[in-house]
Amino acid sequence: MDEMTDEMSRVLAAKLERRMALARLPYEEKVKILIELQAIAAPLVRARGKKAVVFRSDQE
Amino acid sequence: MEKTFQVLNRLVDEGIIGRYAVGGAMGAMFYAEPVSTFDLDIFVVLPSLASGLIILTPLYEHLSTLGYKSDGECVDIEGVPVQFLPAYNDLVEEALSEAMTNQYKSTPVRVMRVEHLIAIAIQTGRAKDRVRVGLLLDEASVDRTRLDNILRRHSLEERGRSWMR
Repeated sequence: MDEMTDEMSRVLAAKLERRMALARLPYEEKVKILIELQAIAAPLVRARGKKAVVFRSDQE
Repeated sequence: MEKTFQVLNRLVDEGIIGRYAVGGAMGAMFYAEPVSTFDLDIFVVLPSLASGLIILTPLYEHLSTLGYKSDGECVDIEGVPVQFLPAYNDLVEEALSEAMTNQYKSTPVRVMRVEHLIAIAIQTGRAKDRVRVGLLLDEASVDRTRLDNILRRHSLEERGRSWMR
């Protein structure tokens, strides 16, 4: 099997660290991110004929 | 979202549902990075009829009187599509009885333990459940002894081993 390069190992470690940082956020912050993700994804989901409602934020 | 959780707590206080816990992707989000989803899965214990049959109709009717209308499989509660899932087996019942209380702003929220979320995903067995198991194992603080115990008691050891390799 081919070995991972040092550069690739560093990239993967950085990605994992970024995900861990996101996982440590307070739930309220994660919900804000989720709503942004939903706003991006909703038109694509609807274009496939599926229902996609963006959650109402607590500020509305 | 906070108002949605307040409505769920009110349903418990009024005896419309026995108890509830957030599960699925929104439950996993308490422990791992946010992942796109379009509904809030709420697992519930419902009062059963004299016949032993458990139905969602009284819950949906009550929500309708509060102004929350159903749309397909979900009910729109304060702008959040909520899917109610009655406890359908021993594992889900256990997850509901051992759920923990977290806080969302100033509102208490019942959330399944991460070990139960993993076990339910393994039992459900779809591709997206497998992704969720990977995320939770990577990012959450998982009590492996508790998880192993749950998987053993619910006959999920074999699939669990292959998914958690």
